[in-house]
Amino acid sequence: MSEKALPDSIRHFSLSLGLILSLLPAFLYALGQGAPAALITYTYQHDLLPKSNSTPVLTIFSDGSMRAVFPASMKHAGTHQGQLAADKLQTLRALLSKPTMKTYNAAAIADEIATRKALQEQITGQETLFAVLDSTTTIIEIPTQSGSGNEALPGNTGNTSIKKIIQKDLPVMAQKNPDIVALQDARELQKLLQNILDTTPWTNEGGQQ
Amino acid sequence: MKTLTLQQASYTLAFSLLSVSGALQAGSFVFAGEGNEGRITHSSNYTGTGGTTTIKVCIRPTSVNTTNLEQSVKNVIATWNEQKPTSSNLLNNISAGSVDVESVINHELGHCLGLAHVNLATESGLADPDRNYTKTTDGADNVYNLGIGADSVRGSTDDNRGDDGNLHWYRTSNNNPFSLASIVDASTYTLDINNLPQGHSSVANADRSVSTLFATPNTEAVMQQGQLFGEAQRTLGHDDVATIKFAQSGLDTTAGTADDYTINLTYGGISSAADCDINVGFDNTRTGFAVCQVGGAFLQSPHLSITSADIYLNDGYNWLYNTSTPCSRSFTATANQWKMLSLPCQVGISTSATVQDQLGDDLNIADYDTTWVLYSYNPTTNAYDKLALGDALQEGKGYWFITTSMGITVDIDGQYNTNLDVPIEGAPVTGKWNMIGSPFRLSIPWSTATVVKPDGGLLDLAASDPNVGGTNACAQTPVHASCAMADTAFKYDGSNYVTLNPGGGNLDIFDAAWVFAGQENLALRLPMSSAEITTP
Repeated sequence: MSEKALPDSIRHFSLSLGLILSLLPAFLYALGQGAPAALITYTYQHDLLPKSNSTPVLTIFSDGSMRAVFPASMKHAGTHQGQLAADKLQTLRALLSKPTMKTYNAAAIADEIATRKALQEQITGQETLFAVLDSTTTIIEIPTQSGSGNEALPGNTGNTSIKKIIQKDLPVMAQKNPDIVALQDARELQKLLQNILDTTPWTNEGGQQ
Repeated sequence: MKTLTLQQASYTLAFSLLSVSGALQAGSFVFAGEGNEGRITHSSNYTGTGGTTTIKVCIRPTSVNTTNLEQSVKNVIATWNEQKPTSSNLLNNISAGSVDVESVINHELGHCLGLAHVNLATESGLADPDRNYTKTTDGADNVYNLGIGADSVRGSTDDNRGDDGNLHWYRTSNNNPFSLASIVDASTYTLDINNLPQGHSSVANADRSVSTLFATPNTEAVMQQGQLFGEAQRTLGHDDVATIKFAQSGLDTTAGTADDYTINLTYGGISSAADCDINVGFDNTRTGFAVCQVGGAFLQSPHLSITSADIYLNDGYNWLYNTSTPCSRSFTATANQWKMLSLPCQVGISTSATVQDQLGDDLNIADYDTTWVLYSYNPTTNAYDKLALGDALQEGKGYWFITTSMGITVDIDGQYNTNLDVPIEGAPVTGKWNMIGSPFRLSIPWSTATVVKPDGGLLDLAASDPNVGGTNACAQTPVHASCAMADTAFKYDGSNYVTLNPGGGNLDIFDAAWVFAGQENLALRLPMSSAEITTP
């Protein structure tokens, strides 16, 4: 399929992806000697918000300790520490062990959805009309290097230090495409991480962004 | 449920029946895009039949903070029903760390009614500030052409957009998104850039930077993407009103015909009832901040209507909830003394506009027309009209008020005030008097008043009332043809008229004044002071 034939949203998604990648904050992983390695980092960007200092960043370490940084515009503004309950850590590790975590490819998913949309419209003779205005882009980073605790990720060759899952409109994409396993897995992971952000009794480290 | 991995996907018939989605590129109307530039998206429940289209807005019972949302949802409903164009609608009167939930819902509800961003916005993939260029496709070359023009303002009339396809309906006569035609339909608005006014190379959008070029500073369309922390934008811009009114001109895009409709948003409460058309609530797993998700269906090409609409918000932010009346001001009446009265708050949005509700809570309703009374002046009939208790008051108008009671304090409660274009009636040769009112809480110098011409252009007082042969045009008998509105106004201090002219005089809070106009279809624009913008 030529790029021109793709819906605007898909073509622009690839542009957005490049933009987002170039603007990603330099996440700081506590990889110093003796410190636990980062297991996962979660944040997002939103169309209505500035690119920097406007959304939370959650880092979960291999021992279940956590660090969350909330911007000044959020209720929990500042830098916080917390400890993830053992059962949630287990759930998180289980999700991270899913094959799609290693192979996640947002561009391929977009292509597949575009293909499906075209096929469906060809069969039904009707255009599928659905739009998301003011999107959220989920950004999940999974360190895979030695010491991260994610060495066992399927397909991990040790060559990639961080696996990035960057997905625009993940919740509705997953809802509308229930049979795309990668989207479902990513959505489960995102829901868990958001729940951790929302419900953890955070201890303020001090300071505000 | 059968599951497929990407690798396993096979394109069977069953596969094709799955739901698909995508964040579709949106134009000034949702669902417009390349190859479909002319699509017009109507609100829920419009079927092509004219009349009132009722749309029920509900708050999801599963949401947190439902009661905190109620006042703002009601206000936004009133705002879109009222469709009042305002300027200076960017207010910096909330704390920098807060986000005004009413302003955000105002924007998202616009999407859920079928309106898209007026600027290229983030869906273009462009970075700020290039996303402030006017909404277009990227054209045949698949690249947005972003020539900024001599004014160095993105989204203005002199941009060079190459082969990008325009998606922004604009006012044909002036390409001014801070003005509104008296009739909004395909006879006055178009997508066709071949109809741009002479000297314009691009369609302007109602971005705040562009507003200064049109002498309407500190103004932005609600549907311009971008919300600043510490900023409130609770009232619509001219362009927002134009776009929704254009849709309301129906399938024939001609106003005044049988298929015209008027949207009537109603509040359905905290409810999950099946007849809720737009559902609002918090769900942090669905958005990082705020989102509107809409489904659509074709009525008849190029017309579509919204079939589903959901607004989600993330409750992690420091939302400012508008749970009380934001504007409240009072005066103490002097017994048995006529007062020229105006409203310093916008009424009829978050509060009732009626005489009974605004004044009757301070004065005895049963004594209306006995111990107190209110009159307006009708320039058409050249007569005073006594208001009924159920009549709606309007900001920008002047009223005569009197009470026989001593020491009565009268308060006016409403929404934040914004700039208004107050219509004034005029007549060639004879002229007409109008009773206007200051819509503000703080004083403004009369010298800063301007007159909005029918084409949207602005006249300062000197240009509005030029000196012709040694006498002001509006002061001549018969009124000279060059008189738009007299440069002098008169307010009443309780015993005498006080003259306001370009040389001095202020319109203070609650002040009304007489103005004289020698042309038809004019409006008076009083500029909001910078202090007013930042006053809580």
